[in-house]
Amino acid sequence: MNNINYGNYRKNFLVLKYLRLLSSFTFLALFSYIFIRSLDPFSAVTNYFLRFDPLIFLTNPKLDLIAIGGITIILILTLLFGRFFCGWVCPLGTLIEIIDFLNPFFRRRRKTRNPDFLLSRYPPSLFILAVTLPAIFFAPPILQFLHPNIWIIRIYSLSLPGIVFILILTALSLISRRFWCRYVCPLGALYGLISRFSLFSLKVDSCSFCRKCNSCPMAAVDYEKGNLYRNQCILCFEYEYSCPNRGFGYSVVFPKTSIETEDYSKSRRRFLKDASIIAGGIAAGSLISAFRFPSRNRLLRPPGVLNETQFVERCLRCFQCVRSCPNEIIKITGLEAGFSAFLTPHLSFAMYGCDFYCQVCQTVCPNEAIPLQPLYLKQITPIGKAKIDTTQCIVFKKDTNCLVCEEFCPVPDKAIVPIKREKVVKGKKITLRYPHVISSRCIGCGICEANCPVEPTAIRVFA
Amino acid sequence: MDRRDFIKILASGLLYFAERRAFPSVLKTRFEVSRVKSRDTERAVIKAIDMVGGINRFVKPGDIVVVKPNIGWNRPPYLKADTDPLIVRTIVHLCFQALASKVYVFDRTCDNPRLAYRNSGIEKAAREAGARVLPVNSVNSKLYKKIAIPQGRFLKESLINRYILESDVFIDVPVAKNHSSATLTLGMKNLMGITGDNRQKWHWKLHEAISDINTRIKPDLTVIDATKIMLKNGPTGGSTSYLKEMDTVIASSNVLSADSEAAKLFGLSADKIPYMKLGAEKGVGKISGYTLGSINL
Repeated sequence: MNNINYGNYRKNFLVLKYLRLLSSFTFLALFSYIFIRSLDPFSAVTNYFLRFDPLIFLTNPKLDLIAIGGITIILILTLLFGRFFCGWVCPLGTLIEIIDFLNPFFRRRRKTRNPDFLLSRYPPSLFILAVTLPAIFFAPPILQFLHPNIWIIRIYSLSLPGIVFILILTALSLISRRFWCRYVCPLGALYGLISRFSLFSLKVDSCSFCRKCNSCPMAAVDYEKGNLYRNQCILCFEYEYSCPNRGFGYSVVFPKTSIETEDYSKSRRRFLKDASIIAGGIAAGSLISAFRFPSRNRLLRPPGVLNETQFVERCLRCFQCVRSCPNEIIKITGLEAGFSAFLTPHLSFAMYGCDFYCQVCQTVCPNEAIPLQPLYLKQITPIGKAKIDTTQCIVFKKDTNCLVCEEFCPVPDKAIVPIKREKVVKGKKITLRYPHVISSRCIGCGICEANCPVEPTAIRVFA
Repeated sequence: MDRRDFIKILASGLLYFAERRAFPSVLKTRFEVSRVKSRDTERAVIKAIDMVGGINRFVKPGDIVVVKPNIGWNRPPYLKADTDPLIVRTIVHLCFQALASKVYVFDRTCDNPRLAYRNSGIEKAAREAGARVLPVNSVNSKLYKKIAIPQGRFLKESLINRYILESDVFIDVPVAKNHSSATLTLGMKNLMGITGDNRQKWHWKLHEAISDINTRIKPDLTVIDATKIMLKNGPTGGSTSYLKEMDTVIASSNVLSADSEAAKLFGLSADKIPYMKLGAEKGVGKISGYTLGSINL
């Protein structure tokens, strides 16, 4: 109660508020920088926001010391300071904040709507987190559609799902501020769960029930009871400075002197409720995971993908490869290949094939769904196999020499070879050079398909 | 011989040597085709151009020059699927020495132009030398102009890059390689990079197409990079084992003469290569009987 120097109360919280704004916008700028950099094939980098992510790490656990180190640092900081990631780092959080700020409807309603504090105590996001946990291990794509930093890449890549998502966010901002962060985001729920045990925390020392703090973007402060839900507090320090009672404090808390003035039995009841929510979520997630969603037809996957099931498990559907591919051959799969392949990338050769010396998709993939291979391995790993349609090919059909496919074949010893045969056409004996695919050499890069002058293409790559 | 004649001979002789001293380049021997062998590629290029008349013969002060190397493929320079960046740089330098106002470098690539320009090393080399490297693709229709080819048998008309049509000097800088359909790709074949047509369809009558376009567009100077020639699996190549070191640079003001000289490096005769034979029939240039200056430096 008397641990705060009252003279500096306002100033201290204002400094924290502006520091937080600076931090969140810096990380949004960093995220944008990484994204823009990845559009240029020569400066493409892996997105560290997705690499240093505990939930994404669980979908593909690996001995990547940098990723493990980064995740450990974030978790330790969360244990020390609370759910700082959402307020200070998360780029989607910053984006949502911008949307909320720009939304005039919301601004009018800012003070009128009272949140339901039961939802703050037991946020649905906890259930969602629990649902995704078994899904991570048994791999139906659920986390991929609920993870904040994957969505922001989809938004940045101006894809249709991304645009739909930003419209949804705008609609949600009519209901409340940071709706996504409050009630949906599983990553936030994870950090919130950990932050219940954090060393430092915001706390309510005294309250005159003036309701000034009902502008809390996370509805973490219950002004009716003078409680604060630590799992929801994202340390935004937005309104604390204006408390007329100077009632907030940010300092070390011990589990015994919990800010929520609950007695032991209540606390145990709460623990049981939390546990039942998580157990229910895990059960629901397991139920969903029990369904198999087999792919209906085989797709051409980006270079280096060897195991289709593993690829579908690991692929975050973040569209980074789609956006970074300099030849623009990576396309997004719709529902035509089944639910498990929904929004995964596949190859479609229109203007170019997969370049023999290009590894951009492998470089940018944040989850090693497209594994980064040494160049010589990439150049011998087949994507598919080319096949010549002899009913279409002009050499077979119209007795005209062509052989563009052979010329463009990038394999050093040529996977397409000419077979010379003499033929009498209109009384003249001519030598025709028929293309022939040597399947063992073919890597299915599709350069032949992209350059075939016949319509529809006479040579095609099949998975 | 009387005294008067003696004085005449003496005076004309003196005048000859005086003139030779005053205007040495005018009297220097000029060959139709030059072939220079040297491990110093830069020096070889300069010497080869010197032997066909020097850069000043082609580039006049204030001229706009197009240097068109072969940047067809996204390959590192050591695989020689593209022209040596060093040769492109040397030629750009020479153009600026001859007071060219602008030098453009471009090619219509087969692979992605961004990747091919960068990884072939030509973009960097040309930029550093002061040239403007143009991004070229077939989609941009503003870049091309349709022109008629009166002598054409297969191609009656073709879309040609405006920069070629509007520049004063066009320097063709191919790399000598094996080519599966055209036997060899040299100066004449390199002109496929200036068109905006569907080049794949040209392959249906490739030899006619190459010789046709060469009747209409004639490079002022052709410098062939034969430092390492690709002997098989062209035009993409992909292994250094397909290369043979020749350390040769061939230059000529006539593209066909340069090509037929370069064909000899592969052990082929120009009249066995259909597009060269057709080119000679259509009057592109001399396939044999040109004056050849050949030196080893």
